[in-house]
Amino acid sequence: MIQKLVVLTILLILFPALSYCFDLYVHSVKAPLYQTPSMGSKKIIELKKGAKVTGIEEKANWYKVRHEGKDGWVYKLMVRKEPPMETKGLFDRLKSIFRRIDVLREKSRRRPSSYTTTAAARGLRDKRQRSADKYRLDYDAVEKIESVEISDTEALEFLTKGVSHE
Amino acid sequence: MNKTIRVIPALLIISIIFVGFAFAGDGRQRVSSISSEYSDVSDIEAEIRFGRELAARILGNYSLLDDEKVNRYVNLVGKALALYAGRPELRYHFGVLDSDEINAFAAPGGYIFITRGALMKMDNEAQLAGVLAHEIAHIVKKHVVNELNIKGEEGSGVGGLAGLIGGPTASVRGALEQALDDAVDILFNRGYKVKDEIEADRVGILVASVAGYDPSALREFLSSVKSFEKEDRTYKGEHPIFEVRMREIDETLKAHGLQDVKKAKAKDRFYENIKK
Repeated sequence: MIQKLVVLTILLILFPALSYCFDLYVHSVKAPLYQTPSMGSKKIIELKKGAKVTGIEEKANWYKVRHEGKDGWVYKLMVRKEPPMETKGLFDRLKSIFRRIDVLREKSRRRPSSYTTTAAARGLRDKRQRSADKYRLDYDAVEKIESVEISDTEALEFLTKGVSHE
Repeated sequence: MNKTIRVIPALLIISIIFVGFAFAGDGRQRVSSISSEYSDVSDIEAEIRFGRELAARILGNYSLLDDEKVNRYVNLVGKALALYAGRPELRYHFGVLDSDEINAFAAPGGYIFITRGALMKMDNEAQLAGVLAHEIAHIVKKHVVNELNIKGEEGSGVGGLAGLIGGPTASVRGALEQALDDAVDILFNRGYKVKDEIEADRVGILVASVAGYDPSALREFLSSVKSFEKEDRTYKGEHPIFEVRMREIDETLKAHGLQDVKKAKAKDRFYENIKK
């Protein structure tokens, strides 16, 4: 009986503690940890992308987290419950799909749809106007902006150089 | 035995006090209330594909500025900001549109455009960062994606490959065309919802600030070019949006203790790259 009571009491103590701790992962390249939930407050440390922290409180757009023995507030946008997704290569894979789509799109434009064919056979006009027909499309220009290669390191160096000397 | 019995009430009291502390305080919420905005890979792919289609329509309507230096500079500022925006699964692309209009657009999946006219009205890099961060925020918060329910192949009628290539599924293709029409209408005509614009201002200001830019720069720019915030087309007959946005921006700056924070404006570098 006493043993059961002890176990029950321990569970009562642990339950709120356990339910209030949750894992969070940094998704931005850096995430400052502030003393209070305000960007104007003192910065304690700067967490790096992928860092796992323990969430202990939530307030509006902020999480209070613990990291290596230090407690502080991090802006919600910069962390998530899941680790950052490994998407290296996702865009390159999509690019090859985009090229296939471009080829198929050209072919499909030359091929009338079943609706159009049936409507034409009945002497009706296809009154539906496709978005692609309403707006001019420029995939070459899209490829041009996609071709600009800037690494994360280069972007960060650029940023540091521009904002640190002021 | 007696000792154990004496300990139990003490432990119970501690547990009650602990529970009280755990749930006390303003704004504290249960862990179960923390929602996940995470998407799976098929959702992200659908978002990028949809955004690319939309980007093709934007670039069909405007020409890209033929100036490699300016384009690269805008990309450097934008990509540096995006690193702080919390969606590392996306690759961002920035383009300068050769137009006198003062405008900027964001298409889902990471496609962002700013006009030459907007750049010419700016006075420093922090203002450019403020505008780009605002557009990044529209993407990060998935304003178009959520409004039009763009999801992976199983989730909605507009995510499938068939829809993008004019494949055999006419209904899927029709849904995609309709969604793209709606997206173009949001960008070119009716604008975002008021709450989305306000959220993009708030998130954008904070992203630019964490990156090291002057958090008041967006406010400065909007004040200097009132017409920039798309008042005529976005909020016709609804709200005096400019005043609403400025008030909300002031509240954001105040709430985060940023109203008097002076950070980098990078004026020299901006003039070196844009105005020379």
